[in-house]
Amino acid sequence: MNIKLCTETFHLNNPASLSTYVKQGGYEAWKNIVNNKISKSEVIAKIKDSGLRGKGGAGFLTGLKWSFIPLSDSDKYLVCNSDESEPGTCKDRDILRYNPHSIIEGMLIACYAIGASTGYNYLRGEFIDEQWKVFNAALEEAYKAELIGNKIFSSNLTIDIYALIGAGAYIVGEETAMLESIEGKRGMPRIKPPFPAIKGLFDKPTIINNTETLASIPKIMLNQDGWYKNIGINSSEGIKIFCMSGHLNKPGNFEIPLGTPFASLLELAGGIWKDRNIKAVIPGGSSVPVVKGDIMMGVNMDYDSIASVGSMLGSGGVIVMDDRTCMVSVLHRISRFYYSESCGQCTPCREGTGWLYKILSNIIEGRGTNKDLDQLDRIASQIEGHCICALGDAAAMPVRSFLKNFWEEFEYFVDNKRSMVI
Amino acid sequence: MKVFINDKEYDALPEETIIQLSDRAGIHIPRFCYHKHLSVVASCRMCLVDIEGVKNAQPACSTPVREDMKIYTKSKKNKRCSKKFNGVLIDKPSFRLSNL
Repeated sequence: MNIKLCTETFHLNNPASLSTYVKQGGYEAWKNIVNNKISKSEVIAKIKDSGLRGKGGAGFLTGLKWSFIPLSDSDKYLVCNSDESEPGTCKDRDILRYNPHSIIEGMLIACYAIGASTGYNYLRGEFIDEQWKVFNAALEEAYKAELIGNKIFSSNLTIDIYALIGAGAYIVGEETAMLESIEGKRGMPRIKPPFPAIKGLFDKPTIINNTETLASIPKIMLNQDGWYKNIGINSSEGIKIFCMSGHLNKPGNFEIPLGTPFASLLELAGGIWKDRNIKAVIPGGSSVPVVKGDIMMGVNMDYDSIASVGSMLGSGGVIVMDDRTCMVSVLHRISRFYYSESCGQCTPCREGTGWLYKILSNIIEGRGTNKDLDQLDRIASQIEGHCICALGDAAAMPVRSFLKNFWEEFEYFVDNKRSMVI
Repeated sequence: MKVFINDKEYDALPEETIIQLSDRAGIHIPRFCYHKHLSVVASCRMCLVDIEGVKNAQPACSTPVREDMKIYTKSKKNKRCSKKFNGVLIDKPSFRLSNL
């Protein structure tokens, strides 16, 4: 099947321009909704029926999320989460760069469905050089074409979209931390409940969706009911971009239907480089548990299959490692990331991530003992599930899974003060 | 409002948090960042309690009581929490860390 949703314009000339997007059927869905006065509940029902799941990591049903918004007349907000900072994930940056109008249209439809008159697209700080400029140019074009703004298509609808740029913090990818950041505060997660759908940005009901999720919406609205649902498999409907990185011949973004076997995804990415064998795969960005390569080869890329081997689909950032990768070094690097990105709000994560990194540094530098390995597992288990946001879990899960799957390699490193594979 | 702490029934006031109820009832829940005269930040994660039907342990200082809520302050999950704080805050996992 060769269906493309978010990556539709990627291969075209001048992909980010309005004319290219309109040629691909862009803004048809938006025009249809406004001109034919399709009701908000109909839009939400259609998204609900499509089974579209959030593509940012948690995989929550988008239509269900939208239906949580109260029906009152108060101000509401939509936030597009383009703070894609998960190591191994590079899908949103390409959507922003090559298909920004699909995000704008998706945001317009989402704003309409939840009754918001303002939408914010929060880009990560590192996007300032390219994606930020492209997205702003696209926004300007859309304003000029009177697709956004006051009295859209001479109806009494007013929707404004603003682009915001972050300062490069990983934690702002967490939805409530993003709200804090937009409000001008330090990006630290809020205590839930209340959930953002009830009390979010500026204490008003807010919906936060991932860039890829919003970019998928125009095509779902344009096609007839059941089109999106029929793409993937049961309980994992639709299509997803997988960002293949690591020891591959042809790393990159591949948009494939959910439920595709991992082996064929690996084939798309050109297979393992230098004719080596696969050792391990992190299937959804660095914060999900690692899976051994031979197990991963028999898994399909959908939510349930990956969950059955003890990992998660996450954001779709697939990191493939060949048989000459030192897992101790990999874990050391991952824990370094979480150590520096912990916001410091709650104790288990602030203290624990530092300790994990320092113990792993000890091991790498040849000062590790066997006790350290148990200590790593214990600290990770004490972080998991005890923090305000999911970053604590994100820091703990790789540690526990690396230890579980590659214990002998860690033990070898401690005993011999050198890696088992190099 | 009827609330159970460690299988014993207590009468809770509406909009009370778990820690307020337990303080009134004389059940000790360890805490660092909670103080009754200060706003709740729930950042030390020391007062985590186990609530029936909730997957993760929840902070007693920020979780409001519900009708028929079953709270366990000394459950398995919880012991792990208090152990954590023996480990996390009082002793560092290894004194060698301080040399790094």
